[in-house]
This record gives sequence, structure tokens and C-alpha cells, in this order.
Amino acid sequence: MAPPDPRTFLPLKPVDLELLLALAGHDLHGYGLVQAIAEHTDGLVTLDPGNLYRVIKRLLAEGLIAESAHDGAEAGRKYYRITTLGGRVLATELDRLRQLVSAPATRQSVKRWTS
Amino acid sequence: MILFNLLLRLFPRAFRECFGDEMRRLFADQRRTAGHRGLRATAILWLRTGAGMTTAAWRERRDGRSRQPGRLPLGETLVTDLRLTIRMLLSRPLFSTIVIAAISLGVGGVATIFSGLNALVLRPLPGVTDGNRLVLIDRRTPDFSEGVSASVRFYLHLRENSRSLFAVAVWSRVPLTIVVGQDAYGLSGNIVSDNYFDVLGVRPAAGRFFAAGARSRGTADATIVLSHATWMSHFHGDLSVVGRSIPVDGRPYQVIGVAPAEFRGVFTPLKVDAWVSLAAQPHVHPQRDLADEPWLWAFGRLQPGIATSQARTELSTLAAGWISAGGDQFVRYTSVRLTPLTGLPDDARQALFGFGAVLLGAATLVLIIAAANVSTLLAMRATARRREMGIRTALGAGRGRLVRQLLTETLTLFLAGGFGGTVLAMAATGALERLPVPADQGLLLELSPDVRVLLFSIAVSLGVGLLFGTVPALRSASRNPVLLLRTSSTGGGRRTRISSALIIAQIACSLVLLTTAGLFVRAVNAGASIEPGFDARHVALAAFNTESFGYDSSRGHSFYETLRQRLETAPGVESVTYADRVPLTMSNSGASVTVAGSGPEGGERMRMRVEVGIVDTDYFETLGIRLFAGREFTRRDVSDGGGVAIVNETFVRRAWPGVSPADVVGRTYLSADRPVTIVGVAADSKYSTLSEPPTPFVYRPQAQRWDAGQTLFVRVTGDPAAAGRIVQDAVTSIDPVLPRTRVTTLAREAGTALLPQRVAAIVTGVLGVAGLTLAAIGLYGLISYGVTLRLREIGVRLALGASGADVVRMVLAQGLRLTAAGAALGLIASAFATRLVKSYLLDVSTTDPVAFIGAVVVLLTVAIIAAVVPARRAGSADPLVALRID
Repeated sequence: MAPPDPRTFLPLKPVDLELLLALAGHDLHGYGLVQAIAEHTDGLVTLDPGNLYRVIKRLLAEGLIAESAHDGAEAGRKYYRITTLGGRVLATELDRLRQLVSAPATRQSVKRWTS
Repeated sequence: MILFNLLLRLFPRAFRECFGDEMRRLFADQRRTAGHRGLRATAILWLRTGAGMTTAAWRERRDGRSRQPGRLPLGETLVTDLRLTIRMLLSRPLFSTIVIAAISLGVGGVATIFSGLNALVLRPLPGVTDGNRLVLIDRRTPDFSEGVSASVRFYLHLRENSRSLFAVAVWSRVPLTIVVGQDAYGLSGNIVSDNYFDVLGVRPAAGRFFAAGARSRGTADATIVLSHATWMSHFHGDLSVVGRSIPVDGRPYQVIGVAPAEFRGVFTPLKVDAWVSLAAQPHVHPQRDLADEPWLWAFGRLQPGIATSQARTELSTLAAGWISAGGDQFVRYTSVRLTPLTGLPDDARQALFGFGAVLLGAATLVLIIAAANVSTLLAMRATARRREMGIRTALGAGRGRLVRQLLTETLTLFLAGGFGGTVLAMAATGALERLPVPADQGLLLELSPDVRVLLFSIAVSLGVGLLFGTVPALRSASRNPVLLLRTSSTGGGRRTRISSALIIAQIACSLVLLTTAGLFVRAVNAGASIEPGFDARHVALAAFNTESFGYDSSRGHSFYETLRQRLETAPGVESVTYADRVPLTMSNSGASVTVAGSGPEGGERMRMRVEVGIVDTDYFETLGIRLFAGREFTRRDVSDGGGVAIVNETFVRRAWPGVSPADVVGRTYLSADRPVTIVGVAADSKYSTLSEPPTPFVYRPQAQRWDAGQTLFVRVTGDPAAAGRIVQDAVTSIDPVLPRTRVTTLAREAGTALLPQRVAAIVTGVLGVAGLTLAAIGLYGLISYGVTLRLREIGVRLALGASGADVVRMVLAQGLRLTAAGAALGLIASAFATRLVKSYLLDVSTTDPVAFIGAVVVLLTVAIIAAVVPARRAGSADPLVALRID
């Protein structure tokens, strides 16, 4: 079966994007994810366990992330890694965002509203 | 972590199984990090996690259901409201913390008492299946006033003939001695019918339970089931112990199974370490029999669809039929009472329930104080937010929408308080479990809150929240926006009046708590100074049961005799005796006797209820009880001699009014139609409880009534606590493989007689302090608020020449007026409320002046302190600044 087209996942929800971004660097466990996301968003997104694992559950089901066999991990902790599909989805989404940000219409709007 | 686990339970099971452990771990990390940053970070984390988890769980469940189009708009606005609320509460941490703390305190008190009641009285037996179908079977006289235990034959009669009960089982307590390695241990055992575990629906943690139908095959294949705690402590949870043989009361028993950890027997406060089958009775409990002797508690499981009342009717018919067929000699006990099997015998349940209700009432007062307090705070806050409400109304927010938002805020606060209260209850029940209880009973209290308590706390806090939080919400959202937007402080008058009324109520409730606590303290003091009629100092005691050593009666006899001789010659020992019970430990055993030659003419026969104690020689000397006439029991009072007794003064006064004790010696009375000669008259003392009225009491010699269970009393010259070694050495010298003896002092055991008073004094005292603190904070808040509102007026007064002291006096007077009104109301309420606790007060009056005056003094002192602080601030206000306030 051919891998699904990354574009069918777009646009990503902001939390999903943050989570995939965090995993793009390293494999992380739950607490690591919360930390990384909070840092990356300047504390704008702080996840409680319930919402974090809801997102993880969905991304696992969609095949964007997977559990990782992390060497040297703390005993008993589950680590997560980004899958090839997930990486592709992330790249596509970032590309889309880049285009969105650099589009002339966007620039004009930014200029108009930030002054 | 319990709270977090409860939050976890909100999620669907599949989700929990998949991510539960990870989530717990994550939260533990978050909490640790927040912990490093301080209390505030922890509080924020809890609030945020609570809200986040709840919404996440709700969404997860919603997603799980087949997705249906068209979400409930109410649910959506609820989420918005919640989000807004959390933001609002986090933006005012001080206000939120004070409110939540106050509610936690109020709910915590109620939840603690409820938790205790729940554990002891309400909740179904832990560890059993479908516990609400289990009933305690109690054979009674038709008016239910007296009861008799079940005999084996009566049990079999019910078991074979009852149609309304699915099954019937019986049990009793029996001390057991097991040997592990080189050491012997005394265990609290239960002896049970083979179907005991099946009827309860308990599943073994390891091995199996008794097989039905294996009855009466002697002790050749004797078996024992261990409690989980015993298995862990004595066998380190070793699975291979199942199937192994261990010595029980000197004979090998095969360990066939282990009970699950949560199962703690039928009467849960009574510790149970192991179970043996009824088949073991001839060996472990030879004094009883498998025929007509009543020594068992019975319980049964109702057939599906059968109501308790139907079963009761059927069992009563069976009992009556049993008697008319000549079943046994207890012909008066023709009725059966059925009560839910909840872990306590019914009488103890009733007593505890009454006691718990009193404490619950006290806790409710604190809850009312807290709620009134919070209501005032919310009202002030509503005033402060009038402008916001005005703007929102002007922008088109509907009134209903605003009320809903305000209610969400209020209820969120109360909900958080409910959780806080549960946490407090966990800590408080932990402290209550450690209270000293009569230790020879092998009591084990487990009072910790369960889900039921949490639900109770939440229901209480939400109910109180609706009651006390709605009014401020409605009021602040009701105004016309134009009015709301005007900044002048109109409407303050009425609001202050309501707040004043609430403060007066709080002060009144605190005073009721303080007087009640004072009365209990007085009762403890009074109890300590009641003359018990015996001298508990310098007396050590220890309980033995030679049956549990595997001794027959002649060996038991010689054990007690040898022990007495060894101890009498030990250094520091003055005298030694045995008795069947310890005074003032609430145990009693009644009988009725017939006195001939009573009345003024000496010709009447009189039946009289008496209490009976079985004592050995030297009892009166050892316990320091005066003998007015006659003698102690001696070795000549042996089993084949005529019946003899020593009676107390009250016995003499009732039976032969006006006859002097010396003249009573030599007279006889009838006990079970046999004459008993009185050989001595002893002074009255307290037997069962300190508050009991003078009771006719009969002492019978132990030599005429052998019992394998005895309590040893040793009077020593020095510290009785040090007598433990002497007793232990003597026991070991007789038989080195006997279990360790627990030696305590009479003073300590008898001290438990004041346990209800002591518990009540502690609980109401703590509640009183909590209530008073809340009321004082409320008073302080109200006066401060009043000062702020009147600052301009105060400025004018100061500018016109009033001195600072005048202003202080004025503000202080306002505080004192409120306090005086509250105190007056509280005194009246106390006069009524304290009547409810009359039965616990020993001989302290319900209007004891010391308690009342003391309570008022404490209240006034605290109230003055609470009023002086804002008053002084008002007095030192700068008139120029005060006048400039718009």
C-alpha cells in the first residue's frame, strides 16, 4: 500500500505542529515533550497530562509518531519518535506556513496591523 | 496522587490503560518541578491540571461515542465559561486561595466525620461481592430488647430451611497461636463455617478457601486461611507457604489459602489474622460445642428479589418453629432481626451513629461559618465587579449568560474547596486512626476516605455553593447597566446589612462550637476526677487464653497456678490475681438473681438484674477495692463446695434496705434456682463505664467457673509499665514456646473509658478553632471593608476635630456590637445545642458556667483583636488623603 499523501493531514492543529516540531529534534518522553513545547512557545502552551496524551493518542493513530525503543532511557518510561510519514507531514506543513508567511498579501496585512 | 488518580478515572478505561501510567509519571514530574518553585506554582498546577484533565476527559468520552452532528451548545458555552473562570481565578490568586481555603476547611471537617462514619457504619464490607445483599442475622426477643447468639444446630436449622436466604454462614472469634520458625505468635483468629467465604463472595488472593461439606472430619486434615497482612508479615508474602503445614495451637494445620488484602472480616474494626473452620472447634475452642451452645454470629445472603422484611418474617417463623419443636432452651428468643452487614454489630453501630451525628453537627457549623464567610467575600467581590458587569451588559451580554458565568465561577471555587476538603479529610482521618483505643480487643481502624466520601464532599460543596453563591451572582447581574456603571457606592447599605447578619451568624455558630468543646473538656476533667472505686496505680495486666496455647483445661489450670506462684515470689510484686474482665473497658455481662427474704417484713421474693464478674483470690487486695465485711475468696472456695459470692453495697441496699453489710454476710440468694452464700461485701466501684449509675454487682470465685481466657492483674511497688519483663520472664520459664505476652497497665486500659469524651473534645476543639478563625477573618474583613467605604466620612470627622482615638472607638464599637449580637444569639443556641450532647457529659451540667464563660471570653478576645486592627488603621488615617477619595 502506498504511503498516504502528507497533504491530506494539513493544516495541522497548532498543538500537533508543536509536538511534531519537538520530536523532530530528539525522541522525548511525556514530561520532556511538555517542557520542550512550553519552552518553544514561551509558556503559551503548557499541556496537562490529559490533553497531551489525547494528542499523542491521535498522532499515534494517524501514524505520525510512534513509540521509540530508546537506549539508555529511564526504566519504564515510554519515549516517542517522529515517523517518516510524520516527518514528511511536518515538512509539508512548514513549507505551507512558509509560503503563507512570505506571501505578499500576508506581508501587507502584517504591516497594516502591527503599527 | 489519589486526587490525580480520581481525575484519571474520568477518562475512558481504554485510554487509562494505554496512557494512565505515563500520565501519572508526567504529573509527578510536573508536581516536583512546581514544588521547587513554591506553593503558588503547585496550586496553579493543580488548578490547571484539574481543569485541563476534566475537559480532556470530557472530550475523549465525547469522541468515543459515535460522533453525532450538532453538539450541545450548553456544553460548548460551559467550556468557554470554565476557561474564562480559570483565567479569572488565576488572575486573583489571593482571593481564590482565601476562598478555596475557607471552603476546604468547612468541607474538610464535614468530610472527615463523614469519612469516619462511612468507614464504620455506612459503607458495604470491603472485599466482598454484592455486599448490599448481605444481612446480619440476630436472634432476639419479640421486642428486640435482648438477643442470643446462634448455636451450631440453630444455624443448621436456618441454613437448611430458609427459602428467602440464598445462604447462611456463622463465625466467632478465637485466639490462635502459631509457630513460625522458633517463635510463637498470638493471632486474632476467626472460626467460621465452611461456606463463610462463599457466602461473602470473597475470592482468595492465593490458594483456596474451606471446601463445603468437609465438616466434622476431625483435626486430621485441619486447615487454616491466613489474612493478607499475616501472610505478608509472618511469611513475607511467600507463595510456597500455601500447602505447607504450620503448628496452630500445638497441632499441624495446613495453610490452604490467603484472603485478599482488602478483606478484613465481617466486623471490620476487629482485627482478624487467620481463619479456621468450624471443624477445628474441638481443638481450638474446646469450651464450646457443635450443638446447642450459643456462641456464633450468623449472617446470610438474600435471594435475588427478596426484601429484607420478607426474609425477616420467614426467619422469625423458622425461629418460632424451632422453639416449638423443642429446638433449645432459649424459648424467649422467638424473633429474628436482620440488619445490613456493614462491618459492625448493630448496637455498636447505633451508638457510633449517634456519636458521629453529634460530631457531624459540629462540623456542619464550621461549614456554615465558612459558607457565610465566602458568601460575604463573593458579595464584596461582586460589588467590585459591578463596572465589568455593566460594560458586558451594555455590550449586549444577556443576563442569563452573565449569571451562568458568575455561577460557574462560584461553583468552580466551591468544587476546588470540595477537593481541598477531601485532602484535609485524608490527613485528619489519618490522625484519628492513631487515637488510642481499647487495645486488648485487637482493634484496627481504617477510616480513610473512599470515592463515596469524595462524591459526598463534592455534593456538599456544590450544594453549599448554590445556596450561598447564587444570591451574590444574581444581585450583581441584575442591575440596569446605567446604574451599574455609575461609580458611587449606592446600595452599599443593604449589602453591609446582609454581611452583618452573616457575621453575626458566624460568631453565633463559633460560640456554639466553643461552648460544646468546653463542655467536653470539662467532661474529660470531671471523668478523670471521678473516683472509680479501685486503685489503678501500680497495677499491670495481661490477657491470656490457654486454649490458644493448645492446652486442655487441666494444663490451663496448672499454667495459671504456676504463673501466679512465680509472680508472687518475684521481687517488687505485692499481689497477683485473675479476673474475667478489665474494669472500665465497656465490657459487661449481666444475669438475674432472686433474693428471698427481701422487703421490710423480710418475706418477699425479689428478682434483680445484676452484673457479674468472675475473680480469683486476692482480687480486692490487688485492685485496692475496700471490703466492708466478710472476706476475700480463698483457696477453700473450690468447685465442689457450695456456691459463694461477694456482693457490692448497691446489691445490699437494693436487696435488703437498711441492713448493715456485716449482717448480710452469710445470707443467700438464688442464681438459676441454686442458693449462693454471700461471704463478703465490697465497696461500690465503676465497672463498665464512668457514667454508669451505681450497679448491683456480684463477684463469683474463679475456682467455681473455669474459663480458659483470663486477665492477669499484678500489683507492683514501682512503675507498672516495668512489670512487663517480670511477667514475660515468668511465662517463658513455664513454657518457652508460648507467644510474647502483651503487658499493659490498668491505668492505661481504664483510661479508654473516657475515649468518647476525649475524641469529642479534640474534634470539637479543632472545629471550634477553625470556626473561630474563619469568623474572626470574616469580622476583620467586614470592618476593614466598612472602614474603606466610610473613609471619606472618617476624613470629615478627623478634619472637624475628632481625635484618632474617637475614630478607633467608633469603629471598634461597630465590631463589638456585631460580636455582642452574635454572642447573645450563640449563647441561646448553645443552651439548646448542648442538650444534644448531654449523654456524653458524665455529670457536667449542659449549662456549665465554666465552659460557657470560658467560651465567651475566648470569643471576645479574638473578636476584639480582629476589630482593633482595622480600627487603628482608621484612627491613623490622614484626613487629607481620606477626603481626596472620590
